[in-house]
Amino acid sequence: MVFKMFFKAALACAMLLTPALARANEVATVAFLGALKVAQVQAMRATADYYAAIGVGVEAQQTTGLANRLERGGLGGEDSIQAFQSAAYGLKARIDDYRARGKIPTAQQLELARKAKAKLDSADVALGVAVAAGIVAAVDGGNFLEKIAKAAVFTGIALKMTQPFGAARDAARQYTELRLSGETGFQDVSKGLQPAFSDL
Amino acid sequence: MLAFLPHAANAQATGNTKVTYCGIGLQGALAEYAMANPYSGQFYRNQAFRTALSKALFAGIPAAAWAMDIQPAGEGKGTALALSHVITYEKADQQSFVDPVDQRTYYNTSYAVGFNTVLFDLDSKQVRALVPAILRYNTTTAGKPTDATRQQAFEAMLRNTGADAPLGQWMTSIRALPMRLDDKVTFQVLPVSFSEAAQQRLMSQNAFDAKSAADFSRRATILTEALVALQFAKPLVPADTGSAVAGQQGEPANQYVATIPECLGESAATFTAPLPAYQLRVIVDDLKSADFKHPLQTLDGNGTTQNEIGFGGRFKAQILAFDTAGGGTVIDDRTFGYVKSLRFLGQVNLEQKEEYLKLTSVFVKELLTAYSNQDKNWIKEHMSAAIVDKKERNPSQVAKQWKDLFSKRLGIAAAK
Repeated sequence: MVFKMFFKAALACAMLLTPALARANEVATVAFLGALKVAQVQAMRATADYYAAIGVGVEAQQTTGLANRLERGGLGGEDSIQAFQSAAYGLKARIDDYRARGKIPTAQQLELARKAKAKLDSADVALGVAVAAGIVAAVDGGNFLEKIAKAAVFTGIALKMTQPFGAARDAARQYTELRLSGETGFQDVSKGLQPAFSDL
Repeated sequence: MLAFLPHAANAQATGNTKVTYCGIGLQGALAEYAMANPYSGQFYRNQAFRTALSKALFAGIPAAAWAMDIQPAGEGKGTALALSHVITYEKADQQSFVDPVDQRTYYNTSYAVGFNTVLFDLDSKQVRALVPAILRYNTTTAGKPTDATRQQAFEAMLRNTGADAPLGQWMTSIRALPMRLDDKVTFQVLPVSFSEAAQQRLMSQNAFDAKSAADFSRRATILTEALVALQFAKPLVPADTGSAVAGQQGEPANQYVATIPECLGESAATFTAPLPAYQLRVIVDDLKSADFKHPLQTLDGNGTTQNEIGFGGRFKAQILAFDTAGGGTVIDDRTFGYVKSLRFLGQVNLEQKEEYLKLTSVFVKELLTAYSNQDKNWIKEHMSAAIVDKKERNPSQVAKQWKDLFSKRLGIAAAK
C-alpha cells in the first residue's frame, strides 16, 4: 500500500518534469528493458510452452519466435513490451475461452499444462526479481527528484509486463484446477460489464 | 444377496445405531422411471450392474460420521432402520460451438444423475433422513454425441469411483458429512419460483415460456436441495416427492415414493417424510444478460476481440419456520444481486436458460456458505441495489442476525 502511494506521488511529479528528462528516460528505458531481458525471454518461453501444452500450436510458435527475436536483440523497447502483453493476455484469453466452452483438459493435456504452469510460476518470480533489480539499476544517478520520477516511469513499464503475466499465470492455475464434474466456466464480471447489472 | 459386501469395517460393535443396507433404489416406480430416464433405467434393470453399483456405494456410506453400524440386507434381524441410495433422475444437456482456432464444431455435453441417500424405517416406512446429491460430468467431443456415447457416459458416471470421478467425489463429500440421526432441525427446500414481475418480464422478452419456466424451477430446486444437504448437514425433507413420474415436480407434501427391491420388493413403496422444521425459499426476481467486447492485441499484430457475456440475477432468499397450520413464517428475508460472466474468443451461441440455471445454482452455493460463515464481505458485495433501507443494507447487522439464526438457533457449522 505504501509502495503504491509512493509511486502514485512519484508519477504525479514525473508529469511535471521537462522534456529533457523524458528523453533521458527513453534512454534509461532501454537500459531498464535490457536489465529485464533475460527474465522476459524466460517468461515468453514459459508462455509458449503453456500454449503448446493446451494444444494451441500456432500461438506457441509465434511466441517462441518473439522470444527468439527478443533474445537476439531484434525486438526493442516498446515493441518488446507489446509483444509480451499480446502473448500473456492472449494466453489468458485462450484459457478463458476454454473454460467458458467447457473444454476441460484431457489427462495428457493436464499433465503437460501442470509442467508448463510450473515454468510460468518460476518465470513470474524471475520477472518480479528482475523488475525490482532493473528499477534500481535504471534510476541510478541523477538528483533525488529525478530518481523518483524515473522510478515511477519504470514502475509503469514494469506493470505493463507483470500485470498481464500475472493474469496469465492465474488463468493457468484455474485451468489446471478444472475438473470434469460441475464446472460452470463462470468468472467475475469485468469493470466494463458491471454497469449493465448495476440495477440488480 | 449382499453377503459379498465388506461390511465388517462398518459393522463394528460400537453401540451405534444398527442400520440395514438396502442397496440402490429408484425414485418412483421402475416402469415410469425407465420411460423418463432411459439410460439409468436400463442399467437399473441389469442385476449385475445393480449389484456392482451397490457394492461400490456401500463404501461411500458415512457410517462413522452418522454413528451407524451397517449390515447387509438379510443379516439385519431386529434392525428397523434401513439405508438405500435412490437414483432420482438423469439429464444430458448439450451445446455445440465452433472453435475459433481450428474452426471445427465441438459438442459440450453436461451429464447429471440425481442421487439421494435415504435413511428410513423399514416397518413404519418413515423417512428419517434424506441427503440429496447430484453427480455431474462435463465432456467435450469432436463429433455429435451418439446414443452409445451417452450410454457410455452415464455408465462411467455410475461405475467409476476414482477420486476425480463424480461418484468418487460424492463419496468423499458424503463420508465427511457430520449428520446426527436424531437432529430435529429438518430442512425443506421450497420450489424455486419466479416473482410475478420477473415472470412477466422474462416471458415478454421470450426468455422463458411456461414450460421452460417450470423446467427451470424444477431443476433449480433439485440443485438447491443437493447444495443445502451438503452445506447444512441436516436431514432434508424432499420438495419433489416422486409420486408419479420421476423428475416431475410434485406438490410439497410429506410423502416419498421409491422402489427399493433389495428390501421392499419390485413394487414402488410410499414413505412418509417428516415435516420440516425450517424451509428455504429462493425467489428469482430478475434475470438478465449483457455483453461487452474487450479489444485484444494479437501476436500477429492484427488484433481481435474477447466477448464477455454476463449473466445476472436478483434473488430473494427466505428462511421460514415451518408450522403445520400456516405453512411457514418468514424469519429471514434478504435480496441479493449476483452476476458472473463467460469470456469467449469469437462468436458463440449460448442456451441462455442453461446459463441462468448455472447462475442460480452458483448463487445458492455461495449464499449457503455465507449463511454458514456469516460472511460480511459477501453480504456487502452482493446486497441488491433494490434494498435501500440503510439498516437492511448494513453487512454487520445482517451478519449478526445470521449468526443468531444459523449458528446459534439452527446449529449449522461454519463452512470449510
